[in-house]
Amino acid sequence: MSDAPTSGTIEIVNDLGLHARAAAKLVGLANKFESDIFLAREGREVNAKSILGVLMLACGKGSTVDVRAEGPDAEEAYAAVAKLIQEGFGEL
Amino acid sequence: MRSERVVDVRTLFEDTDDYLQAACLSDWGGLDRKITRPRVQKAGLALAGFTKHVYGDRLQVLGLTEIDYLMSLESAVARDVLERYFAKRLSVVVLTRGLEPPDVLVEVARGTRTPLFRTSLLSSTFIQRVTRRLEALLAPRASIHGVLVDVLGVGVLLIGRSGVGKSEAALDLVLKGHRLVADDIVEVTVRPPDAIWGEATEFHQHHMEIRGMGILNITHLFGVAACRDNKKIEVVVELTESDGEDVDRLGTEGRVFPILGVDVPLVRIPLRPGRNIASLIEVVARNELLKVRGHDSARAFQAKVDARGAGTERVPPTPSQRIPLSEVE
Repeated sequence: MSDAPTSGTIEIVNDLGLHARAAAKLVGLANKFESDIFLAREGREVNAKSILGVLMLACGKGSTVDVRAEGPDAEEAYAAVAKLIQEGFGEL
Repeated sequence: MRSERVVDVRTLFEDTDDYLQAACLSDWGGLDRKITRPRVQKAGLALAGFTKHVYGDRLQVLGLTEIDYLMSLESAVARDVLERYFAKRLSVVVLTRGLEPPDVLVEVARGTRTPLFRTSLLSSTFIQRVTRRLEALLAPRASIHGVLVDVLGVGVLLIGRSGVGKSEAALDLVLKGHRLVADDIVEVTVRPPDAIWGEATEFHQHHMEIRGMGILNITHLFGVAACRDNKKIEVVVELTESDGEDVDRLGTEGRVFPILGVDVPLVRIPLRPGRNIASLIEVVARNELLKVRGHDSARAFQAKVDARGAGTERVPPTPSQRIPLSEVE
């Protein structure tokens, strides 16, 4: 067991924010993991494996989102999702 | 996720012109004051100086009785009682029946920066309507990951792991003529005393995500009757991949799924290839309708089995009734 984090707060860095295609990318990635992954912003928590929920968060550039993974591959799942957001969904 | 609710005066009266028929008489602010309880207070005895039970976080109503009483007082006395009443830091004061506020009332309200509203409704009607609105605004809320469908008039909340096929089952139900309420995120509230209502957010209302197809607009695809805005949740159906001991084989275990402190009946359906989930859910809804009418098939059947068991124990067959082995072959 390593002590890699399974949750944290990440800033949205790309210009368009968590827009539709970025959300689709994130959801696609989240679905590769067995763990449950949640995104939260301003008191609303949604399932990262569902595109409607992710789009509802309406995260703009500069906003932050709380990511939390729970399950057997939580550490890898969190690391991958965090990396995707930090890298601006490949748009930077 | 659950949040304790408060509502400010501005929000309470927002977009309610027809419903509450109220207008703001004050221009001195205070619209950010908070109301935390749905029950309103009529000033009544507070104007006679008994302010012990006046709570500022409840909406205050002044009707004909109160205004007539104030008018009957000498203005110095009226000012005194009003100052004591308004010293409770009232969230908002509403005059009913379109009554004209006495000058002294306006002055005291201005002095304490208490918002003053007037409605053309009678006190009784206004209290009834505003209580309803406050109950809706102050009700505990939560959001649940699931799909809510109206099946034969029964509100069925589908839950289960991501990707288990909740939306697909719901789409199947829509194709059978049932109605979608919310896909993916269901916002739930308690309507007193113990009803749980669910709806979609304004953002994703009437939309659904089906893997492989993306986001669908159900109203556009199937017509206006394929959706509804909100629905009482009467049964929760959990779609599960396991087929172990957590499945109720008799249907008599009375399982529940608590939502905001209210127990909603829970049915767990194991997924297997070849099972038509939508049809099963439709039968769950029909069975729920039967139960509401007072007929529980599973319990009735169990009672029959129990009665048979009891009957044979009490009356064992007599030797003469036994069939001789020779005749049986």
